[in-house]
Amino acid sequence: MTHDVIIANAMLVYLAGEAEGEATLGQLASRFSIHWKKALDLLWGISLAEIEGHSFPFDIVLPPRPGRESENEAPTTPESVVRFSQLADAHIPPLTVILPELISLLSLLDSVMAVTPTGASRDALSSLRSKLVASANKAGFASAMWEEPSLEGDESILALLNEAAQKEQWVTLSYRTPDKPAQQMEIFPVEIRSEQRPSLQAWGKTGVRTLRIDRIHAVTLGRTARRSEKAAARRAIAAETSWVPQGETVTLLVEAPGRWIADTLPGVRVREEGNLTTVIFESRSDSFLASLLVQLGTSVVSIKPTCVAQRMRAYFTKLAANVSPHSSSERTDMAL
Amino acid sequence: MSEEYPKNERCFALLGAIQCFQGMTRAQARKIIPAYSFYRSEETFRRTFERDIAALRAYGYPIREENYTYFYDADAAVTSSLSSLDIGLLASALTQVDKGKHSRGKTSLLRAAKSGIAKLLADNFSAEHSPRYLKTFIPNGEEAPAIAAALQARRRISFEYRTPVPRHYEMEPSHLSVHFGNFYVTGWAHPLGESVQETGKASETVLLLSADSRTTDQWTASHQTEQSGPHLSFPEEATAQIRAHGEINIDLYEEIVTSEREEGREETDIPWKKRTFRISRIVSGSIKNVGEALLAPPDIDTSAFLAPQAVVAVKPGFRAAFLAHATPCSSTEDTPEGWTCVQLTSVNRHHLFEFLIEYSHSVRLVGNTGLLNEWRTRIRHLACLKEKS
Repeated sequence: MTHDVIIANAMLVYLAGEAEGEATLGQLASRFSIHWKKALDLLWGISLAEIEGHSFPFDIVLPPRPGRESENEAPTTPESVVRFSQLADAHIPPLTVILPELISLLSLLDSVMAVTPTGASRDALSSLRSKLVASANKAGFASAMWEEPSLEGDESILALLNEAAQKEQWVTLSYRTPDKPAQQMEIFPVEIRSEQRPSLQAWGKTGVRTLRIDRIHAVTLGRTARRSEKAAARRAIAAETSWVPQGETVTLLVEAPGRWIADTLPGVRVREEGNLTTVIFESRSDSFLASLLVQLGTSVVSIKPTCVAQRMRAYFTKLAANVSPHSSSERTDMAL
Repeated sequence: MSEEYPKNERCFALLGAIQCFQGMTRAQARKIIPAYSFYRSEETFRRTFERDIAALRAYGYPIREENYTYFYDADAAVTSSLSSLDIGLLASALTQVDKGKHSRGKTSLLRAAKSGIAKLLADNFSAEHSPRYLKTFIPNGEEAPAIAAALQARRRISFEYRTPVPRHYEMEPSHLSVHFGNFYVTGWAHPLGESVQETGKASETVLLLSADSRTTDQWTASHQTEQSGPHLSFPEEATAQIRAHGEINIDLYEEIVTSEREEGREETDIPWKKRTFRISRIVSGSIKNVGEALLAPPDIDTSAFLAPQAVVAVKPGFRAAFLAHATPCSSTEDTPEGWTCVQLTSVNRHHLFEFLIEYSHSVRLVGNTGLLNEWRTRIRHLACLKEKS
């Protein structure tokens, strides 16, 4: 379902607020991000709406629909003008933002803020967020608002990546993953993605790379990308299919609290029986698997194959030796 | 037949009539709106009228029904005084929402965002654009707008929660939040057992924007999106206090059923508890309005998602982006010789645990006590992990 009625209604409110009550179809199209023919079509729809014994409190003069102009009429174009006049003591149906719309907009705003470093842009976003939250609070819906997300990671890195993407410059950077030595790479940044873990989608000699921003270090801006490079990068990213993990097949049995893994891991196969869930997936490294297991915590019941279970047991046994010891009062309770 | 009166035209006439007459019944609508008197069949008219009311609600028009009369509920508005710059920022953020597989299951959220923007654009406009290279995302939780509508109208709702053994809950939503890319709702809730169903409470249509107000097309769409695959992201989720069936019982012991029963307002022995649900697990279209919310909203605690404080010992020379916002603090007795300590506040638990694993040679959790205990429990449990038999 589209939101045509709202756009049509919004166009009326806008026209009613204009000094002359006039706008071109092109202006309406640009403001409401729709095609000018669509704008005209919606206004024609509204102008034909009727209530018996009652007239709508406005008069609207529209150019004919394209192709329906008579011989003595100029062809309808984006420059054609819409004229609106409002009758006295009458009102256009009001447009009021309601809570479901507000929470959707707020979540969208947070997504932008998650990848915007401190500076004028972030200040503007933060100010906008405060206004939205204040309006909800004033209307009595403070409990429906949540806190502004904090920025994780090194802002100076994020600022450099934003600058490079904006100016379309190559960058050299160091990328550090836990299981490998830091890699130096020269890449062209195309998209900064505000997912749960902000990431950079970039293009380079080895094709498309998706890099977690919190693992990027030592960024240096390079030369401006050539037009052919920009085109090649965007083509490559558009053609990129979803990443599917590859590696060793692992089967985990988890209790209900760990069921989230089925919703979040890509390419996972799931079988649910009562309160137990079996998940089968490809683990790309022991480091990846260990970080996944630690988040699942005590909900993990078992793991297979045997060799993986043994490696993980050894990994966590070694880690347990490094974990700060318990105080004597805690020791009894925590013993497994 | 409806070709003669397009949906937009019908809806606009209906909206105008409801506002113009300050309340209108279905029969009146049939009489005074030619787009409805056009239908010869009462049944077809009725179906079309109800779909149009549902569509207006879905567009964000607060249409309230009382004694078979429809009103425009002006009190439902959240007014916001935004500048052109503000609206430009929001509008451009919306245009950059990822339209790929990540947007599945977010139809109603995107629709709500679009209608909100269209309304704001009526009064203000700016050519301001967020950078084109930013890709924005909307959190998961298709039913979040319906929950927000119930929260706004102070309603008690029931819904089906997706678990291996599907469960029904009754809830008074009081708090919304976003964590790990998902919407969560917190409030007093209890599972619906047979004892509740036997009371024969009739479900009504949700007041404002409800799952019941969907058209057939929306129903189909929402059920399709429900089956969408998992989104691409590293696994993160609150599990610290997650108990059975996936919901997070932030406070397992606060029960208010006694006082409610004394007042004779409850018909069930099942206690109410403060619970937090992941909205993406609420079965699409299952939300029903079961009456007015009667209980005082519970206090909210976000510690299941964020650790208020963590003290990490760091090996000399080690640097990581994760610690960029950490502040130096005094060492604890568990700090290894020569290491320094830093403090993180309101830190995402799962990001912290992942970080501690990835850089276990260079960082070590040494405080606070509660978090440390949780960390030890996890590590020791995993050290005893068995292979699947």
